[in-house]
Order: sequence, then structure tokens, then C-alpha cells
Amino acid sequence: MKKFKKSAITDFILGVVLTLFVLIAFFASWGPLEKLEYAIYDLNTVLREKNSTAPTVMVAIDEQSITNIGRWPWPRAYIASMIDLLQSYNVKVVGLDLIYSGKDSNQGILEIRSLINDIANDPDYAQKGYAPVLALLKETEKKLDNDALLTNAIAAGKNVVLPLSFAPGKPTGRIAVSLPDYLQKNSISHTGIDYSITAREMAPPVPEFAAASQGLGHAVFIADSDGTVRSAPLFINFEERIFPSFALQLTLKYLNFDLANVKLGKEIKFGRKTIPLYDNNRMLISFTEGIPCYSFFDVINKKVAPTVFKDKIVIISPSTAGSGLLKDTPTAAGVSPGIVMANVIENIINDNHIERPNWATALELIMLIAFGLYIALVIPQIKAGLSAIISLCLILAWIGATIYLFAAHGYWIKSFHPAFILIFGSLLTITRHYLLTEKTGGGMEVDGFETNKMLGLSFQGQGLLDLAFDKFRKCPVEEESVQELLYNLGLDFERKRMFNKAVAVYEHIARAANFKDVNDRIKKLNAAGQTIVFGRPGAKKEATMIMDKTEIKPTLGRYEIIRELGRGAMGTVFLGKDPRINREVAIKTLRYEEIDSEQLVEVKKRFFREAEAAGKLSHPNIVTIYDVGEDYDIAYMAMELLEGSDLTKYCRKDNLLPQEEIIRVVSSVAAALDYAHANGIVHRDIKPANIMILSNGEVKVADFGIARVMSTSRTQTGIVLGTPSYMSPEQIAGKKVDGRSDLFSLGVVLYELIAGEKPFQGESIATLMYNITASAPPSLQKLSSRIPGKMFPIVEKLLAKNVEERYQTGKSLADDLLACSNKEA
Amino acid sequence: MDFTAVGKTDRGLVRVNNEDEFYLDEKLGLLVVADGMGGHASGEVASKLAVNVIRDYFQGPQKLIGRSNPAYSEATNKLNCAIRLANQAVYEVAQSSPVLKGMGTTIVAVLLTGNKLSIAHIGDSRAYLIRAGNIDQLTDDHTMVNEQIRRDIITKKEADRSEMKNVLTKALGISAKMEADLDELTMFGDDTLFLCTDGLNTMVTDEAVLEIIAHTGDFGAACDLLIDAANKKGGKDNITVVIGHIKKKKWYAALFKFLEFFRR
Repeated sequence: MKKFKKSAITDFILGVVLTLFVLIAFFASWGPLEKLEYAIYDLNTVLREKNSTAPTVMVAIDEQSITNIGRWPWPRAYIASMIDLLQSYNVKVVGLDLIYSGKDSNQGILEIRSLINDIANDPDYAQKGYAPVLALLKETEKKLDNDALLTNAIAAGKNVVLPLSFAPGKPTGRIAVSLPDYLQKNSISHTGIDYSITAREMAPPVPEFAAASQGLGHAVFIADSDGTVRSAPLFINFEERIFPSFALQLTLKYLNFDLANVKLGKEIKFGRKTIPLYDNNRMLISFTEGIPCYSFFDVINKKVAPTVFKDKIVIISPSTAGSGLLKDTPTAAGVSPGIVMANVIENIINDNHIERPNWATALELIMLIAFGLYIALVIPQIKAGLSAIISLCLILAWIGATIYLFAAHGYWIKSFHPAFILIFGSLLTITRHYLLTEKTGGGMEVDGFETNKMLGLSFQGQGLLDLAFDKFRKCPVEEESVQELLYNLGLDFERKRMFNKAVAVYEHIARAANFKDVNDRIKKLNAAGQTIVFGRPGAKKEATMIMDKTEIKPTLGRYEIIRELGRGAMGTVFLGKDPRINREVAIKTLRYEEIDSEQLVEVKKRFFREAEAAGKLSHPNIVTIYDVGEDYDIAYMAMELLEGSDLTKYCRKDNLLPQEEIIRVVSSVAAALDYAHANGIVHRDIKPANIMILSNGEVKVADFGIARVMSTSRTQTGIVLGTPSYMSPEQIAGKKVDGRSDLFSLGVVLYELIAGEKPFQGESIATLMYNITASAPPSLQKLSSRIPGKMFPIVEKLLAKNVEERYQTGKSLADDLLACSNKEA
Repeated sequence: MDFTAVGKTDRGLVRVNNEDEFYLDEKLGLLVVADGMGGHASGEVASKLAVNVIRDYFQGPQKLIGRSNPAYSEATNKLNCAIRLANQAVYEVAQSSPVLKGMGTTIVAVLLTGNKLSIAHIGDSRAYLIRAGNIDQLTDDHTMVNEQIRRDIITKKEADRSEMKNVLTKALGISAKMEADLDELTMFGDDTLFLCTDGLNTMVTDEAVLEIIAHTGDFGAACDLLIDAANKKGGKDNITVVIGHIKKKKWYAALFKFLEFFRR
């Protein structure tokens, strides 16, 4: 429980911190997040992009024109002739987006002017009949006077709008006074606070041009922090006069409005038009595509049909990369300012606006906090997988909704900030949960606190107090809950009058803390211990007839039982003594309890039959059976007592027998098997544990036929078979077996003695079985280098799946083995 | 879901003791059946211990211990966890005393959570689902012959004659690590679950089980009839049967649930 709470609290803190961070970033327009917000904005703009329907045409001063006409700047006469040409096409408004802030002064006209001056002022010349020359000169002057030409062109159509150049920056603080008329006319004075972008410097066009023009507007674009132009400032505040933008002026002229009609407030209004404003009286541009654009050179050479320009707003604007004026927009990079202006005009005329509705900020804040709360409160309570799905749905729904609002209604909601909380918060908490669960889930906590506690309680409930104490001892005794558990266990021990155990438990608690009255209890119990004899309640229920430390030795048949030697496949093995001939024997017993009463008679019969058969065997390599009998409901078999060890310890890689020894042992077993098979007895359970090497080096095979007695007796309730590594394929299939099955098992033993590992292995009994039946063992050559190559075919033949392909008798195996060893020697 | 359960166990006619054990908890939706094995009545100890550990686990805080399998629900993982604990308990007790050494038990446990049934088993005790007049075995016996049949080593006919008919490939408590087979199932109203030890399914055919359960109105009586049937066939082993039933929901149940939601 504690763990869970802790993680929930940190999740909560994490959610809150994240939300606060994003809130601050939101209000401070923190760069990185802002940039991502812009990325979404740009994506939305692209989705919103439509074909332009505005009555605008652009005449571009492009690379083609520059190559054909000459390097920029061109003589102003060129521009003048263009304006004249456009006027002849009946354009509605011309926007000449070229800044001419200084007079054109070329050397030629200056010279001619001084000539004219000289001639006109010198009476001599007049007398000398220079009048025609003067007229000619004046003609030339007129032709060369580009400014005059342009002034005329501008004045002629009464529809040319010129740009004002501003350097945006902090206001100078000055208040403009005595502005020239043309500037006065093209700006508004304002009352109250104005939020427009301010400029610190202005460069108006040449006064003649300005006076001739129909309107002036600023041509300033301000890029966002990432260098992209997304909005157009509709007004610029210069020395507390407010100048409209070039595009706005063009639109006004096109729609036959005057600047005086424009009302500037929260929105810009004139006539029926309303332009929603973003910060600083900017207008967000909804970019369109397909604004018609023609090369200056083509137009001046009349390659473009006049109808294209009729009644349109024509913007003449530079569009070469060299001009340094190109802008990056959300939809394209390197766009001519003329195109951007055309878009502004399009937006105003078609009422195609992107706006921040006045509920936008409120919505963003609500979502921001809602998502923050979701991260802080909801996610910690639900599963990682589920919360991932919910988070994903929320993100998709939120982003989807904002994209829809943008594309369909032009409502710009800053969706990224709330989405960021959701994405980042979910990722963080979900990964953390995942890692946390992974951490606790990693590995089997065999000795984990919980496991020990659970098992301890279960054991205690079963009355297995010692085991319970073992488990509780593994729990941290410093924890009070564990002390409580131990204390209760101590009381249980007391109840069972196992005072010494109870004391041990209390002392264990006392070492960590003074819990309840443990110290008193320890004292009391220790005092009591002096007088109370510790009994062993719950002692062996097992009613064996074999008693320890009794004067009269128990007997089984005629054998005195000395002590237990171990437990075998069918029952306990005792060390016995035949008192008559004073010979020590091993006595194997068959426990009837393990055999179903129904089968008991049958099993007993078989036991005696097998024992009798095995008893007949007399071979130096077979453990001799002296006697069989039945006593106290126990069937027993007295046999040769052997001193030595079985082969199991020689099956480890680090303790392998030398080659000659392996051959000697296996061929001895083969000889024993040959003898037994010839007598019609199949061992059925050849394995290293049943092959003994005595202290004097003799090899003996034990337990002939016993596997059969046991295997058929224990069929009632399932028993789990020991790993059947040494079984032959036919044994596994439950078929009838003969001596050749023993030879297969011996093959497995031989393989193991050579390689130190079993030929057939498997993670489960089922796989092992399958491998024995179907797969070939790993090649011995690879596993063992010290064994002569002649051994390998022998092992292979022994391990053949098909009975017919194996050695048919133990003798032929023994012969082959010995041949192998002789030749080597 | 409204869940009712009954269970009975019987020594049978041949064995001297009953090594089967079962546990029912209608509230938790938990049914457990175990068939112990081992000499000196240690089978009794094993099955009882295993069932009690599982019971204790579910009556406790039900904490997930050890690795979870993400392929299964939380409930199934809990069931698996309980069985792991039981395995460890039985194994450790077995190791603690030579008398109990080698004891083990089969286990089959089902846990109903909402309408999801988690099934776990080790060994040859079985769980069946009776639905719409059909009986289906939900568990796959961990026996040698079953494994051999699956691997096409022997045929079904050979299996019936095999010497190793009752040899298990897996049992709870015989090794330190033992993983149960897990499964999940969606339950519907009127489904009946039937759990038994091999003392029943070796004596009574699946069809006979279906017949008895389907035609006996009272499940307690059905348990008695099933045990009688097994004993009539010889009753060679202990017999344990457990029947769990999910009541069909009435049409207005959803409405009640809806109202209950508002009462909270």
C-alpha cells in the first residue's frame, strides 16, 4: 500500500509542476514551446490553404526582367512607362511597391540643366539665335528627367498607391508636428492607447511622387520569432501618427473607401468590412495560392493580354532573391512581398480571416489545467495501458478539434501548450509506472517480503510453526507489522507449550525493538524452562517399528536392524546384521502403505517373484541377494552390503573418469546385463545411481527388476516420475521392453560418463520425452576430445532409436569396448 | 454476477484416506480443487496446504508478487501468484521433513471476476464448462500419456493401455519453480463450472457428468449423484466434485445496477 501511495503522490507533484511550467511558458511565450505551437499553426495554414479569388495581379520584377532589361535599379522612366501601360489597360488600382525616397540625379540631366541654365540666363545666347537649341535641350531634359516622367505617370491615373518605409523599433517619443500634407492625409491621429507596432524612423517617398500618389501605406512585415511571416501589421505608429499598411490602402482604394472611413478599435471596421485583429493591430494572414503573377518584362513587351489587368489591383513588386525583400510564409519560403500583400488584400476582400476568438485564451487555459489535473489525479489511479489509450484519445480529440476550428472557421486555438502537458505528462508518468511495475515484477521474489509474509501466515495457519518462524525471520523485523506477526507466532508456540521456540521468537523481536511485553515474556518463559521438561509435541506420527536407542535391537525377519542407510525407490534401506553368521547386510524394504490395498497382493507377489528371480543371479558384477521375507507388514530383501559409491558423482564435467576406467566400468555392466538377460531378467532402471564402484574397484549393478515392481504398483494416484533421462524410447511409449532397452539406458550412462552431460535433455519432462523418442543427441566429438574416435560409433549404436539397430546382447557391447581399449593400449 | 457454488469430496471405496481437498468462495468467485499425492498420507498435507495458501492469499490483500504475465488480466495473474505461493509452501514443507519429502498435489482453480473467468491448473484435476447443453473440458491434463498423445508418440488406444496412465508431468510442490497453465474465458448467465479430481473423470464419462448435472435441479444433489456414480464404477480413488453456477440475469438487473450507481 505504501508503495502505491508514494507513487501517486509523486505523480501528483509531477502533474502540478508540469502544469505550472507550461502555464508560465504560455504567458511568457517561451521560445521552444512557441516554435512548436507555430509548427502546428503552419500545418493548419497549409490545410486551410485555398485558391485565391481576389482581384489582384502581381507584376514581378523577377530574374527574367533583370536579365533582359538590365541591372537594378532601372531608370524610373521604365517604371513610368509601365504605369502608363497599366493605366491604358484600365486597372483599378496600382500598387507600386518600390521605395523611391531620393531624387534621381544622373550626370546627363545635370549637365543639360546647367547648359539650359547657361543659355537661358545668358542674353548673348538668346541673341545669337540659340532659341531652337534651347528648345531642343529642354526637350532632352524632359526626356531625361525620369522623376518628372514618373511623377506624371503617378499623377495621371489617380490610382497609384506608394509605399512608406519605416524602421520598426522603439518610439522616439516625439510627437509629429507640421507633417507635409500628403503624410497628414495618409495617417490618422489617435486618441487613447494605441497598440500598433511602433517605428523609430520613416523614409517617405520623394515629395513629388507622394503628392501625386493617391495613397501611401507602410510596407512593413514583421516576422515571428522563427523568421516566418504569419501576420501583417495593418497600422504602424510613428510619432503618434498611425499609418495604414500598403495592402490596406490598396484595398480601401479598390473598394472606393478613404482612410477617413476606417474605424480602429478592437477590430478594424470600414463600410461593411470587419477585420479581426491579433496582437499589435496585426492581422493573421490566411495564405492562399494561385495569385496571378506576371514578369515585368513580359508585361512591358505586351505579351500579357490587357484583359488580365482590367479592373484589378496590380502590385508591382520585386521578387528576386537578390532584392533581399523576400519573406518566408507558413506555406512557402522566399515569397515576394507583393504576394504577401495580395494575400492580405484577398483576406480583407473575401472576409477570409484567421482570428483568435475572444474565448480562445480562456479555452486554452481551461484545457491546460484540465489536462494537468488529468496527469496529476487520473493517470496515477488507472493502469498504464489504459491511461496510454485515454491520453492518446484525448490528444487526438483536442488536436483534431483545433484543426477543425482552424481549417473550417479560421479560429486559431493554441492547441500545443495543453497538448504538450498531455503528451509529455503521459509519457513521463506512464513510462514511470511501467518502469516501476517492471522493477517490482523483475525476477521471482522467492525471498520477497510479501512472499515470506504470505507463506509464513499460511504455515502458521497449518500449525507448521517452525516453518512459519523461518519465513517471518526473513522479513524485516524493524517493521511493526512483522513484529506483530512474530509476536502472534510466539503466542502460538507458547500455546503449544514449545517454550524454547517461543523464547527464540520473542528474542528475535526484542533484538529489534521493545515490542509489547516481549521482554517480560522472555523472562517468564526462561524461569519456567527450569522446571518444565520440553516435550516434542507433534512428534512423528509415523509408527515405525524401528526405535532409536533401545536396548533390544529391532529385527526384521532374522536380521537385526542397526540403522537407517537411506531411502530408495521403494522404501527405506537399513543396515542389518545376520546374527547367525555375523554378516552385515543391506535390507531394502517395501512399504505397503504406498501401495493400494487392492493391488497389495499383486505387488507383493511380484516383489517376491522379482526378488526370487534376481536372487538367482550370481554374477561378480551383480549385487547378490541373500534373502527375501516379510515381517510386520513389511516385505524386505537382504542383500550384499557394499562399500563404495555409485556413478552419479562421475557424471560431472569436473570429475570424469579416465577413459580406461570408463571402458572397464561399462563393459563390466555390459557383462552383468548380458548374464541377466540370458537368464530372462531385464533390469529396467539402469542409471548411474544403480551402478556401484566398490572401494576395491569392483563394479556392481544393483536393483534388478525392482523398477518393474514399483512402476506397476503406483498407478492409482499419479506420481511424478523422476526425470526419465535414462529411459529407452520403447519404455517411454509404454511398450513391452527387453534387454535391449537396458542397453539403451547403459548407452545414456556411457555418454554421460564421457561427456559429463546427458545426451537427451529438455526443460520439461514432455520435451525430454520427445527428445528421447525423436532427436539425435549432440555429437560426442564436440563434447569430448580425450576419448578415442572408436568409442563414438559404439555410443551411437547404443543410442539407436530402433531396437534392431542396437547391440543385441551385452556381450557384443563388452567385446567392442574391450577391443577399443586394447588397440589403444 | 450472481454466483453459487457447492462441492463434495469422498474417500471412494478403495483408498484408506482422502487426499483430495477443495475450497469454495462464492463472494470471491473462487473454486479450488486439489488432489494430493505422496506416501504416509503426505498427499493430504500437500493438498490441504496448497488449498489453504490459495485461500489465505485471496482473503488477504491479494498483492501481486513476482513477475506478471501481461498477456493475462490482473485477476488471472493473482490466481497464478496464489498458485506460485502454494507451490513454494508445499515444496518447502516437503523439503523440511523426510516423511513429507516428495509430496505434491494437483491443483485446479478458477476465479470469477465480473464476467471474466480465470483458470489455472497443474496436474490432472480438471475444470469443465457446461454451457447450452454442452460440456467442454477447459484444462489439459499434465499427464505423460496426454503429452504423448499430443506429440503423436502413441495413439489414444495405446494410451488407455499404457503403464504410465497416471504419471504426471507436472505437479504442485515437487520443485521450487512450477508455473501453472493459465487461461481466460468470458462467462455468461446460466453457465455452469464443474471441477473434479481424476477419481471422478476416470470413473464417469463427460457425457454422464453432463447428464447428471443438467437433469438435477439442485447442484448439491448433483454432487452426491456424481460421487455415487463414481463409486458404482469402483470408486478406486478419492472423488471430489465442485459445481459453480452463474445465475442468469433478469432483464431488470441492469436497471437496478443503474439505480445503485446513483445511490452511491
